[in-house]
Amino acid sequence: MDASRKLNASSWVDNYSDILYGYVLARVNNAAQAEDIVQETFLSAWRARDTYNATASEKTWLFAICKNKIIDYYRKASTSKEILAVDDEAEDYFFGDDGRHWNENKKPQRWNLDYNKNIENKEFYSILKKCKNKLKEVQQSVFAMKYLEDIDTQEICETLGISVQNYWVLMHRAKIQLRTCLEKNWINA
Amino acid sequence: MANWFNISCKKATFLISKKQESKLAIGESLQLFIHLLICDVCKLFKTQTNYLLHNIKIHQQTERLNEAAKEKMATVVKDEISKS
Ligand SMILES: [Zn+2]
Repeated sequence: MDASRKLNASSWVDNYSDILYGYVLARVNNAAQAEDIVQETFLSAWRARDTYNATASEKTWLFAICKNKIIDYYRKASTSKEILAVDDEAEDYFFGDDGRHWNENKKPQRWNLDYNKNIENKEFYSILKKCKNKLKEVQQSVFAMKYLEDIDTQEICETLGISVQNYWVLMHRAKIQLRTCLEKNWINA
Repeated sequence: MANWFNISCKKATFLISKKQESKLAIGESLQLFIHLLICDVCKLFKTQTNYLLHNIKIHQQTERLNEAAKEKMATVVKDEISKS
């Protein structure tokens, strides 16, 4: 029997739209984009139904397609114009002209918490998301691909068409800005 | 030589970020090690970013699609299925 006949496409929306939506929403900027990606996932899956071979469950297969859609989204969001603008602006903000020391009012402050304990409050994740959205899109893509999708560095560089050197610069900027944003809005809120 | 050991905070934080994902070259490793011995601010940067990265796992979103969006999606998918 043809494996694609095991797919129950008419129930996809009922069975999977909520979990896919939750997954996508954590990774993109807004609800409308998340809805689009979920819908596109179902349509692409249907069009590619002949490639389904039943070694994976229907759910796993849909997630794999969805994940590709998300990576496409990261790639499109990272315009080449942004990538080429590798200037020192971001670092100057933190380190001043010569870069030797942290600017007095931009240095990391002590946080009154136990670094060995995991963060359990929900608020952290919503603030993290807001902070992530403030980054330049290419920085968001690099960061999300690494820390949310767990894709290796070489593959991220190939997908986004950037050099490894650029990758380190973009990633560092993402981290330094996220730390500051979280300190301001989560620690000192 | 004295200068070679004495890297800036800007360079040190860059190396901290890099080390969170990959191995540093021996020279870089040494430069960072020495900087962290003398610079509490960068040490704090390291502790805090390590902590944040460790905690940035996907948090299970409980938000659901609203019914209107779901119905619309069901219609679009049904149309596509009936085409073939
Ligand atoms: Zn320093």
